[in-house]
Parts: sequence; structure tokens; C-alpha cells
Amino acid sequence: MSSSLRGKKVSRLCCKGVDRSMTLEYHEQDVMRYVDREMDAPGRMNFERHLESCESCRTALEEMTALKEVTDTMKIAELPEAVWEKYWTSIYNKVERSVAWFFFIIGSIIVSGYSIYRMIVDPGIDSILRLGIVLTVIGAAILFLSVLREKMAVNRKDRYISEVDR
Amino acid sequence: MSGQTESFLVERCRAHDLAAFRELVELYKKQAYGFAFSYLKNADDALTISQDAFVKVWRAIDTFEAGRKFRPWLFSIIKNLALNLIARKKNRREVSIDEVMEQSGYDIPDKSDNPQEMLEKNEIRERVWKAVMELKPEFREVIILKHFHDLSYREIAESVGIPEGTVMSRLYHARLALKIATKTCCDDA
Repeated sequence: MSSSLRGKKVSRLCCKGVDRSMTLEYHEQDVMRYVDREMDAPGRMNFERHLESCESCRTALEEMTALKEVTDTMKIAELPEAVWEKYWTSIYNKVERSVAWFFFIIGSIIVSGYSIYRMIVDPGIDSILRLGIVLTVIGAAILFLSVLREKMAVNRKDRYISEVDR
Repeated sequence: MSGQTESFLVERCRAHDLAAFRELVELYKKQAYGFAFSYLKNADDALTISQDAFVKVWRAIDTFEAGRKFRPWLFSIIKNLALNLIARKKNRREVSIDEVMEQSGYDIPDKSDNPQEMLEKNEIRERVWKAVMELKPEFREVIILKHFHDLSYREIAESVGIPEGTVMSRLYHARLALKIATKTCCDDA
């Protein structure tokens, strides 16, 4: 259906003499549903009966069918098989590493917290060990804050909330 | 794949069965990639986003309602990840068709024995593909889902998060745009 066939002009051309309920918009939907096999059997019969007397709809149907015939012969290009063979491995690694990071962070917090506690209550700990504990805790805190800040910035800018977060 | 098999796999995933999750990944990986590609028009990004989507699926599988279809849920996750990536990379620039073609945007089966006929059909397909890639994202996604993944209106609506009426409207206008852009397509077909 060409772009000129719209609105009142179209309805006069397309549906002259046809039942008032069958407006242009109704027919546009019918053509689409017919081509896309979204109609039930009675709907198809009614529409096919309508096609016998409506040239505009026949034209629209032919054009839409022609386009579909072209796209039916196309498909999204396949990647090399080697890529697909590694696909699962990549996903598994990401899942595994996220679990590993979770345990690492929890463990680090426990070790750091306990180390600081021991450092405070036990005056016999060597200075070098104290220095090591302090530097490790400071480094971990900076890393944690840096990652947190980046994640918060990304989440603020991400306008499209993931389905899983709804 | 039957709905029952899919439901079984999803239930096994909810029980944290990694083997079932792998099977689910193997079944949907190519569709996931194709759908991500329809947004990103870049093979590497599409691969990464589709993998990230599966990772999100695994993490959030407990929130997936029983009886719901898996593919629309997966596609909606991919869509959001892809759109976020686009926004982050400020990827509003037009990708040149040469880039898209070089990234093997589409495949065509080589069935014709007549070289001339094959050339003409290839030209038509290239025009159609170019027109698809030049559509706005909201129109391109419904065209890709309908014509290349053969989803129903309802499945597209669930995947994209819009009413069925909007799916039909966008599909209609996208097809109109393709028809206008590829006039020889419909004349020659």
C-alpha cells in the first residue's frame, strides 16, 4: 500500500461500497495478519472473500508477500564454527569468575577485619607485618570504592533497566 | 524445541543444574546472537552482549516465573543490555553499509543455477538488508524478529515489551519503509 493511500483518501479508494466496519486501518491489519499467518481459519476465509472485491488490498497483499519472499531467503550471517565452540566456555568462565570474585571479596573482608582486630589487640605483632596489613586494607578499600563508584556511574547512565531488575 | 522441553530445562536451571543451563545456551545461542546483532550491527559486540545476557539469566533464574516463555525473557534482557551498550558507546553514528557487509550481516543461500538470476536476486537482497539496517532501532527490531526469527506478534510484544498493536503498527511502517527503499524488490519479485 503506497504512502499516498492514507487517511480519508485511502478509505474512499480502498473500501468503497464495503461494510462500514471494515475501515482502512482494519484492512491494513488484516493484510498483515494474513501474510504473517496470524489469522484463524474463519478470519482467513472472510479476508479471502474480501480480496475478491478489493483491488487495493490485493495490491497491498502482493507487495507485502513479495517482500516476505525476499526476506525468507535471507538469514543473519553465521559466525565461524570455532566461535560457537568457544561460546559456552566464555559464558562458563564469566559465571565462574563472578562466583570466585564473590568468595574472594568476602574472604578479603574477613581477613582484613580480623587482621586489623589482631593488630589492635596484640602489641607483639611485628611492625613490618602491621605495615603490610595496613597497606593491604587501604589498597583493598581504594579498589572497592573505585569499582563501586564506576558501577554507580554506569547504573545511573543505563537508561534501560534490565528485565531481571524489574 | 517443544515448550515442555524448554520448561524442563528452565526448571533444572532453577535447581542450579549447570548441564541444563548449558543445553539451554546451546539451543538459543544463535538466536541470541542474531537478536543482539540487530541492535548493535557489530559481530563482536553482539557476541559479548548475548553471552552477558546468558550470565544474567543464570544469576536471575530464580526470579523467572514458571510457565512463562523463556525466549521473550532472554530477548528482553539482550535488548536492554544492547541499548545500554549503545548509549555508553554513544553509538548513534550511522554505521556504513560497507562495515555492516564486511561483518557478514546476512547470508543468502546459493540455490540458483542461473547466474544472472542469482545476481539480480542478490542485488534485491542487498537493497533489503541495507534498508533494514537503516531503519530506526524500534522498527528494525520488529522486522528482524518477524522476518529473521519468525516470532509471532505476541512473542515479539513480550520480547520487546510493547503491546501487540504497537508491534503490528511498527511492522507495517517498517515494511512500508522497506518497500519504498527497495522499489525494485516488489516490482521484480
